[in-house]
Amino acid sequence: MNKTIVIVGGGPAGLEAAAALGSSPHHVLILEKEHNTGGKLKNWHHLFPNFADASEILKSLEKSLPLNNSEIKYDCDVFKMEQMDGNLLVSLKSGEKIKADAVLLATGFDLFDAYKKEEYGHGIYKNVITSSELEGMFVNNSFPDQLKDGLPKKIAMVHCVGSRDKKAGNMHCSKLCCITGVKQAIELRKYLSKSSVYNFYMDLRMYGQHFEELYQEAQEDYGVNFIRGRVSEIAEISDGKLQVKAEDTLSGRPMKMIFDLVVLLIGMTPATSAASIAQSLALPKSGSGFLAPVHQHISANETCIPGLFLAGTCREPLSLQESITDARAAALKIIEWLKLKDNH
Amino acid sequence: MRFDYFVVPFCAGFGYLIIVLLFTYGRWINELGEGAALKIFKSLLTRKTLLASREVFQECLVHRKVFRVNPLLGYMHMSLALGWFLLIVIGKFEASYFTGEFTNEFYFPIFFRFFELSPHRTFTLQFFNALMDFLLLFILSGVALALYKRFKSSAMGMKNSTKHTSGDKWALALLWMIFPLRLFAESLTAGFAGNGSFLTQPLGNLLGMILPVRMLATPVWWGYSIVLGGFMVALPYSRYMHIPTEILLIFLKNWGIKPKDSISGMAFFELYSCSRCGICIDRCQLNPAINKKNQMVYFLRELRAGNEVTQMAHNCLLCGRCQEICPVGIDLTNLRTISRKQKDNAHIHSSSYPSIPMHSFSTKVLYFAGCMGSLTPGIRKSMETILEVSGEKYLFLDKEKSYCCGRPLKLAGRLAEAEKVSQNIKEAIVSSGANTLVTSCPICYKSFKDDYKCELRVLHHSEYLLELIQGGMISIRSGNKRLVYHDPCELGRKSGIYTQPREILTKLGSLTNVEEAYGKSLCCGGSLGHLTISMEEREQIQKSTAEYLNQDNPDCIATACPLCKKSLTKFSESPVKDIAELIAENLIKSNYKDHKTKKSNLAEAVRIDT
Amino acid sequence: MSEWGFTVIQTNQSDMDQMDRGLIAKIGNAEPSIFWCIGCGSCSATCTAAQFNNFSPRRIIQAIRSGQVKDIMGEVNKCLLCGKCQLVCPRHVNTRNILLNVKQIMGQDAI
Ligand SMILES: Cc1cc2nc3c(=O)[nH]c(=O)nc-3n(C[C@H](O)[C@H](O)[C@H](O)COP(=O)(O)OP(=O)(O)OC[C@H]3O[C@@H](n4cnc5c(N)ncnc54)[C@H](O)[C@@H]3O)c2cc1C
Ligand code: SF4
Ligand code: SF4
Ligand code: SF4
Ligand code: SF4
Ligand code: SF4
Repeated sequence: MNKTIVIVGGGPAGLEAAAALGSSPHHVLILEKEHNTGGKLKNWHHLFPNFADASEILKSLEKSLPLNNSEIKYDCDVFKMEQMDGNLLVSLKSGEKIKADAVLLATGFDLFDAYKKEEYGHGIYKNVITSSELEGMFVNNSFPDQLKDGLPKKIAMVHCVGSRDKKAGNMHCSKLCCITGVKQAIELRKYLSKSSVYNFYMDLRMYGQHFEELYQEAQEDYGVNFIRGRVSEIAEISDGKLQVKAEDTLSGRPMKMIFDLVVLLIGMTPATSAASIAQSLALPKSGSGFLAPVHQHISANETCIPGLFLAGTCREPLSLQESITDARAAALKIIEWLKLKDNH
Repeated sequence: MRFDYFVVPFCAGFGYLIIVLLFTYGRWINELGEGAALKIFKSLLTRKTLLASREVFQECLVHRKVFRVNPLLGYMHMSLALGWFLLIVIGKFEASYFTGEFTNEFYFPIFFRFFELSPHRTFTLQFFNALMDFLLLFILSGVALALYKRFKSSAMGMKNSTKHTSGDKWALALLWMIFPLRLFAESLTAGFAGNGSFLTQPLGNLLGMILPVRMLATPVWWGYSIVLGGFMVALPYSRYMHIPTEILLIFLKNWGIKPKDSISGMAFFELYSCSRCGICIDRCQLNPAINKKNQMVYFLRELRAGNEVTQMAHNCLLCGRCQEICPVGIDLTNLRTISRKQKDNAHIHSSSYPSIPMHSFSTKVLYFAGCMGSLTPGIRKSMETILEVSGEKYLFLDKEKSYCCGRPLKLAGRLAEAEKVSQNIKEAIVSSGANTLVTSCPICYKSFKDDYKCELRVLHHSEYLLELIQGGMISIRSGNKRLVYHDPCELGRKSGIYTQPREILTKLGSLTNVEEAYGKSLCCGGSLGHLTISMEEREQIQKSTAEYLNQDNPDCIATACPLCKKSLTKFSESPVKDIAELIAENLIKSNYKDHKTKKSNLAEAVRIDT
Repeated sequence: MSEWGFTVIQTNQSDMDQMDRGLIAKIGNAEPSIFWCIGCGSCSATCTAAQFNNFSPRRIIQAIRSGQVKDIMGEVNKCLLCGKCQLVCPRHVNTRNILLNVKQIMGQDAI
């Protein structure tokens, strides 16, 4: 018998899960709160670790969506769910309700609001930007005037903004900002050849395939400087110049340095758009507030609610590749579960 | 001479008390320090003494402040203090009227009804008699309330009540027995002599029906005298020492004597003036949030007992909430601070203390953001914007480097070092030739204003910004945002700045009031005064304060301190902003002429750092 | 710096088996957050005293944890107690209380 599978969120994870479910006889419905799919991916320019064009990848994700059994509904903000006779009733903000045999939450993550770390001056000093804003500049090829005049510039990349920080209320490591910082440092050096770039870090977490190599490349080929010390504060000195304070912990002395631009490598935080859903189902959360699966090791995509599954960054920080793999794993679990449901 | 052996215990106790008090007070007065004697001498015959007398009446007898906190508790204190006082005074008048001479044996008025057995006939004597019975009843109602409070302190609107030492227990038991015994002694005498009034006479008659009153009266008078004497012996070793001490404290305070920075002299007067009323307990935010039995009343008790208090002294936010409400008006936070002094305090290390490079500038206004300001650039930037729009030439003293005003060291009890640090900053400020110093940090403000004693005007930015608005130097848009103001401890309670920030805020939006405001304002949890509290515990306070301020869902919580802003932001639903930020957001820049030329002149001056 | 004459006199390695654990045990008891430090340096970066002095709260924490406490009293006395270190610390380390405890514990030992 044909069933309805609802996927909440049309980001990379949601799209990939729909594609993977294409071979099944079930009806797949993607509910996306914005007017287009792609999630965060549509804001990125080139991807680590190999500088692949993000828009190409998004295109191929969207192309692989099966036409026969899947449907995307835009501007559908899911905010509540309830259990009903073994099914799930999905409520939209518009008031519409949809009955589903299985639901996949692929609601993704939120970017950390950098203003919460007021000492870094985001939203106060114009030359303090976030990594996400920098991606936007690359995508639109529009840079602020002070970066255009071709003069040598000093740029600081600040790691761990809003991650690994009890003060920000986030204990987790966002995993991807280190490599993003290295990637963007290289990109900035390429774009502004006379510039010098300094990355301020606590630990460099180069966990993925080809990440460490990229780090090495940044040092060897692009002369990116790495300073082991977390930035404590940033102050505007004059004419938009920024004074960054940190301790060079390897030499053991506090330092200050003037920069033209500071890029804050903001972390991933749990999506607020999933909070009301989780609340309506009393879905447990992990320490940092991401949605918690039933079992970390053996059923990372399943939840304690029958018929409800998780994929992608709604459950923990993941790279694009990991999100996609995760979505396929979730799709497989959904098919298995629907089969089981049929047999009963 | 009227005499009976039973008065001896009373007289002995009274004599003992007088000797102990004279000795103790003599020692403390001796410790008041240089100049104290002169100060007292100069103020003795001035209005100050009159004011002090009025205060003694209001606080020691009527207990006005306790009344304000809790009428029932106030009544209890008043009935005992005022009642007893009147009993003594009116008793004296009665005795003098009766004997026709003012001087009589000092114990005579107290045991008047024992010695004067004739039933009184004249109207005046009947009036006196009734008055004395009434006063006794008044006191007994207070004793009954006190007993009730012991067993059920929440009835007095207090969540917590104090625990007692053994001296206290003795004194308390004796105190509770004094007035019932007096009632019985007088009633028994009235039972056979008929010299009672509306309370003692009927009771005496009643007792007369069932008891041999004539035989029982003298033993009960003995009991009354023993208990009275016993109480006076126990008094110096109990909380009731506060009764005589507070009176002296009030006079000394009014004569301008201030506690020094050690536990001696004036500090002893303060210490022994604490009545252990326990009002300070519920005010303390370390209490509900963290539940540490460390409030002022406990601290003073340990300090008085001469126990080791270093840990206790440190375990306090120095927020001053308790001090604001303490009916005795003890400088409580100061007692904590000076108890923090360490053994090695005299030793000042040789490392250099930061000082601002000294220059003299043409600017009249100095701006000092405060070291905390470097973590809240929103406030600094707003101040820069506002100052620029106002056209005021100013110098930003700590733009590139942070300097410490020295107050944190002072709060930690390291007074000598604090002095050294502030001396350096003061020299730079003075040599600049400016006439106004504006700071955004209430901690620095307090320090500059009270400790530095510079010639120039010291303003918190809330005062300065209000001046700019009122002087037409800047103009702001009024909005309809619903604002709640949080009084920073150091700005409100410690420095008395309550109205200026509110005046600004009413121009910016509509200000809603919360109950715990002004002197009662909560501590944000960020207090620099507490060195040992963990961040987790701080966060509990931060959270409860933020939740409290958010209770009416305001559009914005306004405050005037970088530390408060930082502490409240994490747990606040609505945004937390400094008044400087709110002004900068609503600044009308139309009359802002191009200060560019001025600015570049300024840029030279501002970069004083090397 | 004087030149090294290639004569081996004594070891320069810190012998972690022989380290002085006395202070860290006592401080760890009074202020357990000393163990939470990850050496990020934020405290030293913002530190008011460290701008003017050869001083670093991070270094002190590290020194106590590795038992190198010889000259530590002189070091802790440089702190101005401004409290910014605790405000920026990502691990909620209560640096001021650590320094205070060094003073109290070492001070007692000295008597
Ligand atoms: C600065 C930065 C740079 C990065 N660069 C790279 C890179 O170079 N390479 C790489 O591999 N990875 C990169 N990543 C990681 C990558 O962005 C993520 O792995 C990926 O976006 C995760 O996809 P997702 O579908 O799980 O979540 P998202 O991309 O967040 O998508 C979630 C979707 O769900 C929708 N949604 C959410 N809630 C609801 C709801 N209630 N109702 C309806 N719809 C909802 C959202 O609108 C969104 O479209 C980067 C991440 C960051 C922060
Ligand atoms: S990935 Fe790197 S920058 Fe991001 S939180 Fe982890 S350690 Fe910090
Ligand atoms: S300190 Fe003040 S408020 Fe507290 S118990 Fe003593 S007298 Fe009462
Ligand atoms: S100053 Fe504040 S923290 Fe300290 S005892 Fe009083 S109310 Fe409690
Ligand atoms: S800021 Fe905290 S974690 Fe970082 S070095 Fe200092 S004490 Fe350690
Ligand atoms: S409290 Fe001491 S160690 Fe901490 S930042 Fe201030 S001066 Fe530095």
